[in-house]
Amino acid sequence: MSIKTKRRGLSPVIATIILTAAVITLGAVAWAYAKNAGSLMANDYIEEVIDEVENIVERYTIEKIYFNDATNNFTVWVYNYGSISLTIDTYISVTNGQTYTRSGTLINARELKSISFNIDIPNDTIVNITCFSRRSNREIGRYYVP
Amino acid sequence: MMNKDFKKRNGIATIIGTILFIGIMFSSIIPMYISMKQADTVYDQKLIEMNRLDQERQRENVAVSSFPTSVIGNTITVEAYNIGSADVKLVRVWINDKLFTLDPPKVVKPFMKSTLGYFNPGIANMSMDFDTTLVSDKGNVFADPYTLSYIWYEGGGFWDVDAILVNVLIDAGNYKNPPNENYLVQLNYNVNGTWALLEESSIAMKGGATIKPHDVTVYGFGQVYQVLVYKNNKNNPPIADEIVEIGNTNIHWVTAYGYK
Repeated sequence: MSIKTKRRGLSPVIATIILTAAVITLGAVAWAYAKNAGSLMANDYIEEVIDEVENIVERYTIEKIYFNDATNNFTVWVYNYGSISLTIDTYISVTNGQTYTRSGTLINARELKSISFNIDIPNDTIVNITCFSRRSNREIGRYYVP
Repeated sequence: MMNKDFKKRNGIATIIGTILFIGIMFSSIIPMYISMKQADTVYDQKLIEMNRLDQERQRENVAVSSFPTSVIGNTITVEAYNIGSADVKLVRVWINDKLFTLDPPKVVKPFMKSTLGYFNPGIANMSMDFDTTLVSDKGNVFADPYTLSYIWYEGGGFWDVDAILVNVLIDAGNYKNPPNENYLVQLNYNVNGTWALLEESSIAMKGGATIKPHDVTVYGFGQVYQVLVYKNNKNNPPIADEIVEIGNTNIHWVTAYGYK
């Protein structure tokens, strides 16, 4: 009898405590995982939305184009009339086949910035100007050199 | 007894587990959902705001008028006439590659005209063309459709702009053989409410009617000038006194009756 008594299992109380602890632990792990995953997904989504918002609020225009034939200085003035800064890449294409590029011009909000090129443009030539922002917005200008 | 209790509580663990599971789901997913909805709301608000801004920008429309401030001066007067339906805040004036910042910006209300100033475009000792454009704070660029030309010659220069042509018709009436008479034609411009002489010429009439084309160089859409025609000299009252205004046509007819 005494042997039998010694070989009795864990008391139901202790068993319940152990099981409860195990369930709480597993639950906490599952909760933490789900919460982290949810936060990560929400943050990714918010970042994407912020990018999209920046994309739609970006506003700029080619304000002025001028070619000084005495100095061969071709200048494009770009006005950022939006509320956020932007970075643009400017491409110049002359009808005689010449192309020129100026990359990474940072323009702050409400700022007018000039982008100059030293180009020998013959008379009676059309110059096409394209400005691409890094958020994929585009502005096009055209200038005729008489 | 124990077995009975267990049997009675059979399934409670499943219910508790389900509640915990739902609790975990809600406490983790609902904040994520709320954050995403907030982001969507911000996006929608910005979209509406930018659409409104674009519409306001499209409603801006300004007619630009630039003309020499004086015949031999070196400044250009720039006027803006708001022909759109929204207020326009003009921030810059361009004359060729020369930039003039309007500080403070000039706000022009719909259907109002405003003189933006008198700008020196930097006339060199050579003939030059000048193109004028205005820029609004919303990024609209408005150009004067006309190019101003400055003609340079040795020792000086002048503005080459469309002239106003005043044709003065002097009619002798029914006289078959009217006497030979001289007529004095005078063009005045307005200086602070008083007329000042701009140009004067005389004409001799040899009978019948005659026309004196009075071609003068004056500037400015809407500018008003006075034409006076005197018989012989200025001692007598003018036989013609008319006001002409530079408008869509720069040719004006003034009739003077010599037999009066």
